Amino acid sequence: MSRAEQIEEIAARWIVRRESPDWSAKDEAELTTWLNQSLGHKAAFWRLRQGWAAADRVGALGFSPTRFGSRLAQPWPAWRKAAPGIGLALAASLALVVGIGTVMLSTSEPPAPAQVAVQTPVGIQRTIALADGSRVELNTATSVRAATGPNGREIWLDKGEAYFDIVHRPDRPFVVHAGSRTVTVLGTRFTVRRDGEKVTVAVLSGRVRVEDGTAESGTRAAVIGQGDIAYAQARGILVALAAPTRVTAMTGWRDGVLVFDNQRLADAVADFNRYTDRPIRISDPAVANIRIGGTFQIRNSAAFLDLLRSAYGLEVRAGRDEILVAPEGGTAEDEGQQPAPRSGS
Amino acid sequence: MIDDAQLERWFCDEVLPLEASLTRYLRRNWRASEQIMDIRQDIYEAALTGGRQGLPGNTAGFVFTIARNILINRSKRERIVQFEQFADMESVEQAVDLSATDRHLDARDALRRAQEGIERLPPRCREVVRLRKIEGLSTREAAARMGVGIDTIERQLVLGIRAMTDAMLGGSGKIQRRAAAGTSKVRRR
Repeated sequence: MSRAEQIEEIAARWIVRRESPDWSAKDEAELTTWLNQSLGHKAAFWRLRQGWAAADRVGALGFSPTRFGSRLAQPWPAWRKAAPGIGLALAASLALVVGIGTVMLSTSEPPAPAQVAVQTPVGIQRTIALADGSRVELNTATSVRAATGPNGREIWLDKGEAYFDIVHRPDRPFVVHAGSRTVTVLGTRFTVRRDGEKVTVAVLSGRVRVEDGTAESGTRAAVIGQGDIAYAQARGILVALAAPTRVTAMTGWRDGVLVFDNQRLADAVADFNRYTDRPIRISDPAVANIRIGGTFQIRNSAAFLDLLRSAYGLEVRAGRDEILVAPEGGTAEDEGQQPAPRSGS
Repeated sequence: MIDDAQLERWFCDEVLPLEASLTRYLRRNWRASEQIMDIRQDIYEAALTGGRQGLPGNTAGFVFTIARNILINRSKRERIVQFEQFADMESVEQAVDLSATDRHLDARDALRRAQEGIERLPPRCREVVRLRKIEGLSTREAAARMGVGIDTIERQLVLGIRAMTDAMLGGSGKIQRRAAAGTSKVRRR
């Protein structure tokens, strides 16, 4: 628990005690002592007292106890609109392309359940809430389809990246398909990123099973838990155990940031380019191999380019369709020849 | 020097209504989401410290300036590469503009927040809040009604107070400590 949470917890306990009939003058004196210890205590206590009093309005709602739990009884793939992801501009959310209710036929699994498809364009993130309380956050340029059927809850990640916060239902397994890979959820929060046939799964809590459907024996599977990352590539599944820092870095996009830790500049640039139609290109292989670290806002690639300019002495030239990063002084020779093959994307 | 009653009224009427936009501002400008609550707490404490010397004319500008300074100090301390983030005064102005709408919540919005807040509570916690707020039962009476111990009711109320406050101030109303909500069916009478 953080420091603020501890103070809040204590303040809330004071409020509970103060509402009880046996609250005494001695109690009041103790509370005053606690409040006078710090203005931080007062801030927490006043805030909760105000909020809790405002919550008296629940009395006006007239809800009945029988309604409890009714949310779980709704049919599953009733997609509801959820609050847009943190840091999304309002304008951005208006630009969303959302295909709700698109029905597609699955070729592989008869009888085909009705599917719901959701896409996000480049640079846009979106959160969708499922009727069972689960939540899916889509990153830039992502498309998913979802369906419920005899096999339980299923999502197809056709491209891009998504974060899953899944309510565990033993009777309704939750399966994410990413190409030939399937991720079976055992009640958890995790992200899946798909770059073509390369699939990366990072687990924030709980456990998931990652299976490779292309393996002939069908035995290529790995169960990974909190802080682990599975990299599924053409040659099989690679698992990085206990890499919590890396997992946190991989989910930075949910807060609108990209986190790099000693990564090749080419890879960092490739990450930035996922969010824009005006990509950054690197003109020189030596530059591509520069190691870089730090936290950057996705929407503020200018700060990233400034760092390249000021700290690494690179030249940044902004063109109409792309931004070129070159070694300093390399301008003259670069202009006469084709840029060196870029790497990373 | 402003006395406590005045200070509390100013804090509740002028500062707390900014909480939703303040939290949005912090989330936009700070990468470590688990630190947001601590930062917000620091901002409130600093606001009270300043407010005690004299209440500011423009509370929103005052609070967001504190927020910006605290973020800058923190990022210096943690030596994080976050260029230009805080130099962007425009975003502060935007946040302040947004806050104007937050301040004039009408009764319907407050009701909606109450509704959403209570629906997000875990069932047991929701029942305890309902008994307290709607039926007006004391902790002891609620314990008897639900057939659980008083400490269970108190624990659920603590969760309920925190989550409902968050919801009423425009937050997500999520409870941080799920574990406490799961301690059920103890001491059935």
